[in-house]
Amino acid sequence: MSTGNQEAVSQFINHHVMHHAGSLDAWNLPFYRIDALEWFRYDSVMVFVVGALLIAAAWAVRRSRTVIPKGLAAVAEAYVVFIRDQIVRPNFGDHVGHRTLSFFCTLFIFILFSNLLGLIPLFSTATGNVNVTAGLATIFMAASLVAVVHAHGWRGIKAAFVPGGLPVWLAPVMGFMEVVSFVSRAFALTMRLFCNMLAGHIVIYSLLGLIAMFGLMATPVMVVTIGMYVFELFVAFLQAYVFTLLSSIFMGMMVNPEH
Amino acid sequence: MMIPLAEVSAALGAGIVMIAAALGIGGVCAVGLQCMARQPEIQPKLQTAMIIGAAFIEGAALFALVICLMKG
Repeated sequence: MSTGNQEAVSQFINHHVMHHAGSLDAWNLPFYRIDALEWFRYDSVMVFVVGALLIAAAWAVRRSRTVIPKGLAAVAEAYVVFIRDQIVRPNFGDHVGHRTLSFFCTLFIFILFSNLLGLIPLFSTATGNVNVTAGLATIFMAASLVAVVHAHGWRGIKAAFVPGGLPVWLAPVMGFMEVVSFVSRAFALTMRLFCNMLAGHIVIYSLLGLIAMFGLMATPVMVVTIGMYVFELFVAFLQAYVFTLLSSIFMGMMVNPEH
Repeated sequence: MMIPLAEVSAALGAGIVMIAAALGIGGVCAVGLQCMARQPEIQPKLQTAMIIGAAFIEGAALFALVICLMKG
């Protein structure tokens, strides 16, 4: 195969896996094109789809609430207890943990839903867009500052960024380093989720592309593709868990700097 | 047939990143499993710590992979 053809293939893959929704064209498109499924190929639309789904789910859970939870309410309770016992309590302790619980529940289920919806054919993965994950990381940064102020007052900010018991001349240096590490943690969270989601989709798409390129000869690749798809289902859960766990660890380190 | 040098280096870089990441995550999982076998009672804590370590390595590897992808 010639180099030009290869370049075309790589550009084709990139074009189909990375949808850049955010330009005016992408926003205007739904209003004058009728084919509805085309909408779901835009990450910005998918964010709202996930939001609407979550609101509907929350409404359904609220409706099915009884004194002894059963059905949907029991599922929701198991989920919240899982987040509380596995993620929030080990990092915050009971008192502060109770107040940050709802934030981490929201974070986990939003990432999980957008990862899973992205695996349905024709739907785009909202978390496979760097803008969405950067937004999530920004929310994490803001939330950790709010949690620090809420727990210790405005002095907590100083305690979170400058460890106590330092010589006077060392304090600004340490403060600067702590701020840098705070920002780089958020950046690492952004890139981890984005790269994992995008890489999985590129792999699946490339495997399917082999079939398109070589025809019947590449049919056995289908098996590998299905294997990758199942692995991506696992990765969707794992990455939602890792994002929530790491952000709770980082936030817990800021709220309780002495631990 | 001329292959641009940038593509070759990007592909080689991706391979090297994969080797390094596999070594790192393999090490983490090997030690984690060993510790779990020795002390099954602290398995949940170990598993969490293992996943965190693997996630850090994975994140670093993915930074490099994205650079390879962008240049390739």
